[in-house]
Amino acid sequence: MVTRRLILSVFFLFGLCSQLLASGGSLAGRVTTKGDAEPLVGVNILLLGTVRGTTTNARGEYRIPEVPAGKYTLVFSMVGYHRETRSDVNVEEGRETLLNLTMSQAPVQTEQIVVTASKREQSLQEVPVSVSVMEAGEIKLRNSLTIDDALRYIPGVNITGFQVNVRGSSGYSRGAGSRVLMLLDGIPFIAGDSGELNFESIPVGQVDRIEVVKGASSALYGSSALGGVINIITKPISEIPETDVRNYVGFYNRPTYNEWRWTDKRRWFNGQSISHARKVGDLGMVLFFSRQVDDGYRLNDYRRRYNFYVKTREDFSQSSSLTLNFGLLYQYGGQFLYWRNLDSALIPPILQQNDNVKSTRYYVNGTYKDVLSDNIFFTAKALWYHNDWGFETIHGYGRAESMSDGFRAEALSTILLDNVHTLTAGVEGNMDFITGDMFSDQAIGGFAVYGQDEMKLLEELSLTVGARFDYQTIGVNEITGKLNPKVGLAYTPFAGTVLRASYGQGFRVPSVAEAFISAGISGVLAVPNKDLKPERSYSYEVGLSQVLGEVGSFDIAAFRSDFDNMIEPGLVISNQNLQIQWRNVTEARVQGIETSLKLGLFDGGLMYNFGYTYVYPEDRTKHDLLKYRPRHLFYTSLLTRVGMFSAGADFRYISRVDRIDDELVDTGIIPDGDAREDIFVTDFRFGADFSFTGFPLTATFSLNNALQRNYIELIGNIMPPRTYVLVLEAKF
Amino acid sequence: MNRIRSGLLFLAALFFFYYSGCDTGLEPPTGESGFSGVIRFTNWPSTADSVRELRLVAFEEYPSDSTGIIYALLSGRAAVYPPDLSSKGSLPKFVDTVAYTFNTKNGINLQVQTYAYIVVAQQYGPNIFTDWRPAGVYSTQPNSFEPAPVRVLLHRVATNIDIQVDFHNPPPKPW
Repeated sequence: MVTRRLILSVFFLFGLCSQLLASGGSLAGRVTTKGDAEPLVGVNILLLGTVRGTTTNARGEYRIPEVPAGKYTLVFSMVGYHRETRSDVNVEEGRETLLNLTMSQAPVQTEQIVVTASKREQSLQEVPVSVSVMEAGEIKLRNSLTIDDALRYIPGVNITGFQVNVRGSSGYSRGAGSRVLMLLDGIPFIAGDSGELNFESIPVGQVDRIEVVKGASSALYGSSALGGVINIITKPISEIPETDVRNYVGFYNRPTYNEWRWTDKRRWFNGQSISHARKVGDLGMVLFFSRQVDDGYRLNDYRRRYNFYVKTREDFSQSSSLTLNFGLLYQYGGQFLYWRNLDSALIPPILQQNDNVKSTRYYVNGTYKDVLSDNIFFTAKALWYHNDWGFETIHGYGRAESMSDGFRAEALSTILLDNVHTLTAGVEGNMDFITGDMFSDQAIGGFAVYGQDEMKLLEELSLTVGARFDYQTIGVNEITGKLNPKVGLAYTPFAGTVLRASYGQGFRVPSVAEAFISAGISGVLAVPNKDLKPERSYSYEVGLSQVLGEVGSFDIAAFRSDFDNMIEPGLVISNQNLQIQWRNVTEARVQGIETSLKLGLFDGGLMYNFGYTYVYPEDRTKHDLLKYRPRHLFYTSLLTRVGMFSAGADFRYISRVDRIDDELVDTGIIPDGDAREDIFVTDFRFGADFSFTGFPLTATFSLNNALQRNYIELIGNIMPPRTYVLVLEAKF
Repeated sequence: MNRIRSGLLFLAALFFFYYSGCDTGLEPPTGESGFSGVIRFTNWPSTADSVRELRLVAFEEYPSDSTGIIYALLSGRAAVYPPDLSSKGSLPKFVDTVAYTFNTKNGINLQVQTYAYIVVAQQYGPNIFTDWRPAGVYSTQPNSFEPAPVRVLLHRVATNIDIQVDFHNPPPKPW
């Protein structure tokens, strides 16, 4: 309660300040498409060299008030359109300067704006680290039902049993801890108890884009960001009333082999969602509800999921706003840990046939933004994340439950000192309260201060230097105080060519689950380890990005990360019983190369994406390869549009992982657990847009895993066979 | 023209995707479950009558039951190799070594489970129910009669389950 009052007071104080600082002239105008002069909604407009900016409304209009008199350069950018720049725009005291603009479509977006790399908006080309962006349109085209489904198509990212692995940083840790930090609108969003990423809490339909920063990012984001950062950015509230109704239905193909056919019934899945966005005066609101039902293609793998989401935004003035999000997830379903054996690959062991899991998760987060002056931008963020989940096994260890309440708060400011220096500095705090029998009662917390300076040393050379100090306690024997520095260089020798190099340190404190778990996992009892130490990483990267004229862009990077005190789960024998325990076991090095190519051929008639990542994940203690890391990741996709029709195809190749937990196989816990092969997955999709009829309806039909490849991402878990999905969406 | 080119390129790529992924991937296994190894014989008895039959027997538990091998076999607590229970089905006699593979297809009762006691059993008298004794036992310790367990895993044949049989120095009789 005290925390909430404090935050509200801070919001009020800064809101007041912004009113006092109002003066100068203003800029206004209208942005339309080249040719048909249709208004463009959501164009980003930035006054270069300042933190001032805005976006166009439903009529394509914009207005930036309180601009000090002087000459400015304006940058207009929007996904799918060429960036436009207007120099020497004169603003006079007490007068409004009008500037209308037309923007032409770009076949490939080569100048995307990202916010995650430096906690502020900047062009992807200026960032000294590797960042991949997935836009809402791409997620929608693939009908990804959860965010982790969508992440499978980002170069350098692969999923192992709902856990995200960025460039080989993570293997599989049974849901405990993550070496990739997940952010929701820039705020850390990880469960306080397990430390895992709960993607299903965020409705996919409300995601605007996903940014993935690859490599250690603890110098800005602290613990867990030692392998990378995934920032999920929710959609802005529409300026005009908008209702979106979406319905999908699909079914799983029958298994390839008779031995695997455990039911004669067809296994269906379906989902419905409805959202409505409206703005009344300065207050905007989005309401969203969705329901998802999945019979599951395996025995005891059914699921029911309900999401409710509200987003509000109050614009106090043109320069300050408060955004509040509320999300609720309730889900329950069967728990399929691993197969009975490869003969019976779609049914679990007899003792796990009735296992089930139930979760209730909700969160409230708020972001206050304020342009304090022409060169100072202030943001305050806070999040409360409640997480209650438990599982039940009839014949095993009974019922186990964990409940956590996590609180995060952050205040940061970006200051444009002069034409050379852009400073970003902030403070952050967190507290987590955990109860339940799974991890026992725990209270953990910490704080951090960070700062960075982005220096434009020359017109074509920029240097970023930063560091963050974290103090964190989680109740293990060692309290953590860590300083993580970073440095990055971006050099533009020619227009469209950027050379980059970066170094950063990362660290991760053990999650509560890793240190304090006391429950059955995968049929084996997990035991606590209070002697766990934080793990560290040191990441290096060099890269080159090249814009290929009007047709696309190309990127190549070489990377290396060294890990100390890596925390890995391992099987130990205690009193002649097998147990799982997390331990600091390994010094490791993960290195490799990554390339990506985006092309828009024939005036955007054919879009092509390609990504390849080679990773060599080396366990330097055992002189062996790290577990659960594939060495080759290859993605490619095609999309073509002809009139009202569209067609697309995705192809993924992920090489067979070299090492797994052999103990789980050798001891017979997961029979045939070493059965695994290269992954080849091909998806096809076809769409039609019926809006020419006057009714705003789109239909998409997808064939996922179209060639019915039988593969696993996690030992003992066959992935879905071919699925047929029909999606109907009406937006009005 | 561009649309035709786009379409043709798209179809060519689909063709590539199709052939890249047409293998079905994982499939139900066909291999047997069991274990294999070599039995080494020394000091064969001078009279053939005292070695009427030799069988490889895997006991689920160390057999303390005085009713012996046949009862363990009938109750499903032991597995026997070779499967032919007539006198012709014995392991070869008066040889130096025998290589064997004892699996769920060629043995009687062998299951996917752990066996605590693997023994070469010798029928030394005419009574098929009672005249049995161990001639050699599987142990991981050299020159030891300490039995070592063997885990039979699904669709795997454990190797190097070697047994030494010295007819002058047989292991203790548990039944």
